[in-house]
Amino acid sequence: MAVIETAELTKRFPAVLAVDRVSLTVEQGQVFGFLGPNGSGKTTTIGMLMGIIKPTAGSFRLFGAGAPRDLLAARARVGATLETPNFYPYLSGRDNLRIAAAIKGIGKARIEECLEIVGLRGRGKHRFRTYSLGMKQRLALAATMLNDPELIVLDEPANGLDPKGMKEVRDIIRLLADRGKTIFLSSHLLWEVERTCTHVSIVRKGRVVGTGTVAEIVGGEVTAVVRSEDDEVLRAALEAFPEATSVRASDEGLVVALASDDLAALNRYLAGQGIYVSHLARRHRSLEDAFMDLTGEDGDVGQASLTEFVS
Amino acid sequence: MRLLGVLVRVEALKAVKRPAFWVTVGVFVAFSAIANFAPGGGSERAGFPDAWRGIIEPAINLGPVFLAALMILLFAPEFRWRTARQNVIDGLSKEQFQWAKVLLLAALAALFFVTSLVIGTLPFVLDPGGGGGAFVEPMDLNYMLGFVVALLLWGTAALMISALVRAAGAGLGLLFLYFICEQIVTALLSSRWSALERFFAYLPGQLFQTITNSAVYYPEVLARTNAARAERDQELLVYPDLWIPLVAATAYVVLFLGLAYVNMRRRDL
Ligand SMILES: Nc1ncnc2c1ncn2[C@@H]1O[C@H](COP(=O)(O)OP(=O)(O)O)[C@@H](O)[C@H]1O
Ligand SMILES: [Mg+2]
Repeated sequence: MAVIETAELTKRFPAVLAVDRVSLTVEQGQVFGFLGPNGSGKTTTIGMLMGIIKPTAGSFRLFGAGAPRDLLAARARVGATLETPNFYPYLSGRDNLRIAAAIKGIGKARIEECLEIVGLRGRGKHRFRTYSLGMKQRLALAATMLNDPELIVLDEPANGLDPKGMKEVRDIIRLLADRGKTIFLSSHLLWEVERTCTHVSIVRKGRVVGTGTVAEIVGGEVTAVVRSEDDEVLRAALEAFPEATSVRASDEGLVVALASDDLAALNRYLAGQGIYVSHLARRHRSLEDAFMDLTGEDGDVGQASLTEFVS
Repeated sequence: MRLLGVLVRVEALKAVKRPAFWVTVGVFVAFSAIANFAPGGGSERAGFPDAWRGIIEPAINLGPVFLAALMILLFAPEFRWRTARQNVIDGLSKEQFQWAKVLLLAALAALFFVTSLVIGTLPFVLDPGGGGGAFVEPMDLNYMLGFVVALLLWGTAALMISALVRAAGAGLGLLFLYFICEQIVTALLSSRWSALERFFAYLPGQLFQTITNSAVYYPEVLARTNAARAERDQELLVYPDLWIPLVAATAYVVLFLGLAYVNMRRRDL
């Protein structure tokens, strides 16, 4: 059964179309990455799922529930945070959890358990205001776990954390995933999604531009790095190459995505154009390549290839 | 029923751990104590039932203002802290969150009402004076009812402003600015066009002043005031039937709650 299902979900703010006909399906047990640059509509999408932002159009279901009353019940099976950790600054970490626990109908013992899991047991009596950002993020994780939810929604959980904090968060997410929880995680950090998620949707300016397993998004195509004396000429030639699905610049040279695995053919083609390459190498396609292609950060060639490697 | 318990528990925890709660209540208690215990001030030391007017008079003027300030301090920051959002994410509906604040208001109004009367009657418990007849007269009960309506009038205005403005500083500023502006504008305009006075009497600030005025409840106070005015050749005061301003003020209470509710339904958190 689909845990989250959105259909043409849309949110228009007065000045901006923040979410534009987003259709997603998150199945049980997935660790689903919702990846996109800042301002691409991730928080707004999650806000709609959580009932704090009214969709302009479209619909969604949580655990199959779509009507307002059913959604309220379905949300009892969800634990979520949105944007920054949202807590009462003057209350202790423990008291903040007591409020969340009261709303969720959870007892005292579970509060201590959750503080323990995120390593805040010792600081539970201190005011939230005095916490470091990492501690605030971990308290937010503890709050989402209180009701032992089937679905955990995290909005940029690694935001503002140092590498150690990020690793801790990643470990907690993995722990939850291993227990069979469905996790929906938004991020603008490619490698965070690459390391943590099984599935990914890439979103840009409110539109979903690609969806699939991380392997599907990463694999499926061959990429090559090419360098020559004149990048302009090389680029024009690569874009004209029938097998090329996208071309973009990188530090190493031009990165070209190919529909077939035949690098020799590419070399022959370029030589035929009078271009002699100084470097031509196959490259493991990273999520970053896919992300760049899909979000069209470097020309919109990638948009065209989208259907091919999503299907 | 479980929901009601949850809302009460959550709001109580938020309030009693908040320093601003104790400061506001503390200052109110201090003012009330001064008004009731200071020599010459407060209650006529005549014993009951005559003492009631002196007990309620300072409370009815101070209480609603303190209640409104406290309501804004407890409600409005929930938007800046994004805890209103989190409460909803954690499982309340937006409407339930709003109801929690209505419950909070009711509890705070009850707190201010009871605290005022307890502090007011303390001097008599400590030093029982004469007095006679009934413990409380119908006029006193009316005045207490006026006190409750005045508390709710300011309290619901504060609740609505918190929900609309979503910031404590701006909310407090707006509330008091409105009250002051209404005073100035009505005073200026009704001195020019006296016909407007009838209409102005139904503005919330003017209603508040009417329902807190002891002369509206106690004929002997009105008689004394008018005797003094007659000596100075001033126009005599006439007040409408008590129930008219009370019903009008109650209508504002309902209106403010309704607007806050509609606002909460329509706007994103
Ligand atoms: N309450 C709001 N009012 C107006 N515009 C908003 C509001 N919230 C977000 N936006 C705009 O909507 C777009 C998407 O924002 P957001 O969902 O926060 O993106 P993300 O979480 O991916 O960074 C941005 O352009 C942002 O400025
Ligand atoms: Mg965001």
